[in-house]
Amino acid sequence: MAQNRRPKSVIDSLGEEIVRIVTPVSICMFMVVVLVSILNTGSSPSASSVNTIATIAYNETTSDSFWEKFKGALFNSLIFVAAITLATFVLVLLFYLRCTYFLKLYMGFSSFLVLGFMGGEIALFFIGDFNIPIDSITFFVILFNFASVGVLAVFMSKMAIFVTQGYLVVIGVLVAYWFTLLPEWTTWVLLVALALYDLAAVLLPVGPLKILVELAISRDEDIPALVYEARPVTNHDSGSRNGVVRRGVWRERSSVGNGCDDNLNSGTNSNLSLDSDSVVDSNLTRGTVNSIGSDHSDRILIGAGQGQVLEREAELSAPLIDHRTSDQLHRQENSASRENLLLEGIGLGSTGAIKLGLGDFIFYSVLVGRAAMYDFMTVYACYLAIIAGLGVTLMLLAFYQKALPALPVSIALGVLFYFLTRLLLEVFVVQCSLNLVMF
Amino acid sequence: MTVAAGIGYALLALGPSLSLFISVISKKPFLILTVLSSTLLWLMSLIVLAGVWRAFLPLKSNTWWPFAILILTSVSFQEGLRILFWKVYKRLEDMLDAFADRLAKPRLFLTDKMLIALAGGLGHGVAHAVFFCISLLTPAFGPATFFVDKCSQLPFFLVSADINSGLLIAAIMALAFVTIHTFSMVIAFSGYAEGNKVDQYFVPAVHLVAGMVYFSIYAGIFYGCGHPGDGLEIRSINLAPDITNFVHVDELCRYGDTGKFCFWGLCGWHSSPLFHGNLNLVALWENGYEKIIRNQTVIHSKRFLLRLTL
Repeated sequence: MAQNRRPKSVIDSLGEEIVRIVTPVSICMFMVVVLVSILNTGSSPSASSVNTIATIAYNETTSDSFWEKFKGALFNSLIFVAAITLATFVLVLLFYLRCTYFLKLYMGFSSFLVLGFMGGEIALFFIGDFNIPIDSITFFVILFNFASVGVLAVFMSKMAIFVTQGYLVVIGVLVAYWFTLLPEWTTWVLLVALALYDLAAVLLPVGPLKILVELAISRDEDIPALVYEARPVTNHDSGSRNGVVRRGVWRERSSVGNGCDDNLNSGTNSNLSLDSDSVVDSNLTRGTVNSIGSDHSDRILIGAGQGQVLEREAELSAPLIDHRTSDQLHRQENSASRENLLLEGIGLGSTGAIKLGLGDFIFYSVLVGRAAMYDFMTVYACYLAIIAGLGVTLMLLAFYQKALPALPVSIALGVLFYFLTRLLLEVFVVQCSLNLVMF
Repeated sequence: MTVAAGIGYALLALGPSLSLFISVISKKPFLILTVLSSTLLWLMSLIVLAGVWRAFLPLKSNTWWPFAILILTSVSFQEGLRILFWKVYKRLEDMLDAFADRLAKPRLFLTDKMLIALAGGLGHGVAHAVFFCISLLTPAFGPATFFVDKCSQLPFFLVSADINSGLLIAAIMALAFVTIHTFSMVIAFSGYAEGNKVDQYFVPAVHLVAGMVYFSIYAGIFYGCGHPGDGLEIRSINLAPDITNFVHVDELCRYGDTGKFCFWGLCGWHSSPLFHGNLNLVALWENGYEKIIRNQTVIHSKRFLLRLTL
């Protein structure tokens, strides 16, 4: 490449934060699509071999009528959402009673279960499908090590950030794959119900997630949960500050003059998405991130001045799949239902990096995985819709500066685009391409 | 078709755009966002077009004028979209310049502007390639989709050059369109920026001509499945030439166990050895088309049509 000495242009680093959160989301979705297409090739599509809390009310078969399926799916989702609400309230109660250590232990335990058992099951699918020669002792040793390192990565904040991020994505992929095994109507209604629940839980004053976040703020504590934090952006051009970038976004605002404010104003006046990107970036690169010598995981900034910048995490407990049932291939499963502390909602981390809850990763990937079961065109359309929804949510985050639910916009757009593509676009495109009409 | 062949076709259509992405676009996150948004815009325009044309589908493939109208409306809609894109880009440019001024960085260079245009065009091109080409390829990787349809129990047969040639044509056309979309955005933006009328009219003209290539390919893709001796069910054809003799296809294929097959071919190319001398391929088209109208399952039949391996 050319070695020009030209100073860096403004578009070189703009939008980097967003790309750093879009990349792992895309990787997670891609891996779920790959898993779905590889592992679902031979199995029969009509029988669902997984009994979960989500199918407790109604198990869908392909021969039911439209209303039967819809009602059954609705019941399933209502029960599931009710179970999640209950679990979240229990979580809030525990947090209120300061059982933080217990929560962290529980989080580690559930990560171990996900990585160990779910990962093990999927590995067994692979071994079965592709006849990989491996003996059970080696398999168990490898699996155990894999799961243990994962637990450590999630638990300890001292692990290399790439390992932590990788394990979080793997956990997301595994859980999302299991969710795609649910019957079709249940999956779609469940996604919509969860999006609505997320909206209510984070924004309503009585919502459990809002209560949790406020508790955490008032106590100046971190909520123990599975959160993906994007690698913070380092500001290389901080020449005016002698290379030391201090933390404290909002305290600096008054001292740097009105630059930031103007930008924020222009951001609020216009509706261009990319303008708000610049708002986000300018806010985040102005003296955030990479503060030297400080612990990157703990502080919650409370801002003086206009508005408050708060680090918030919204949280969601989602009971995972209950392996109480055996399928025809006589797999031995334990009969404990597990719960996992998942996290939903999006917020700004203490270092200014964007945090996205693992529950969001999971449900985006579930949507895309379900779309993959139909056709590749729907996958592409849903992927674009979800990324667009994520972008919109990030803009709103920059605008409102508080914890926001990341599910509703993306899921709404994703479901909309899925049905539009399936009903309208596919007919059109197939007609055109088979007739070699291209434009 | 094997997985390797499928990947080959996908790379044929998307290879240059992939290398362009990795070498140029992935270095600047802003351009990645531009690619994503322009892809989304193109997809939305395609959905709008599909919504508008939904009432008129499926088109009778024997006449050419519905396709001409389709191409004309689609191309003009997309060119309108390009002008809209230009207007949005102008506002964006103003904001980026203001932002750069505030940060005491240089304003947008010419290469930056062209890079943004390139990213926009690449987004359009990739979306086109994915929707018009990759979606034809994916069933060829194997039964990767989830639906149950009539011929799903078929054992697979390897196909001859016919399918490969059909897919090859689709992949090459997709490649050509990716190139057209990518660079016409650059040309159009520089034309609008400088007020150069030649450039401004060049781009829609090229797009229209490329769309009209349909008429130059006096060909079409046909496909079907059946059992030797039982009869054949044929699907989708286009521009069938005049049919003099008529092969009567009476029975729909029965879906038992072995011996079933599918075939897929391109008119004018050498027919599959399975049928050499046994079928009047040209004559099958007309009848097949009528079966499409009656069955109303042409779209789902696309699924089994492409499942051909040995």
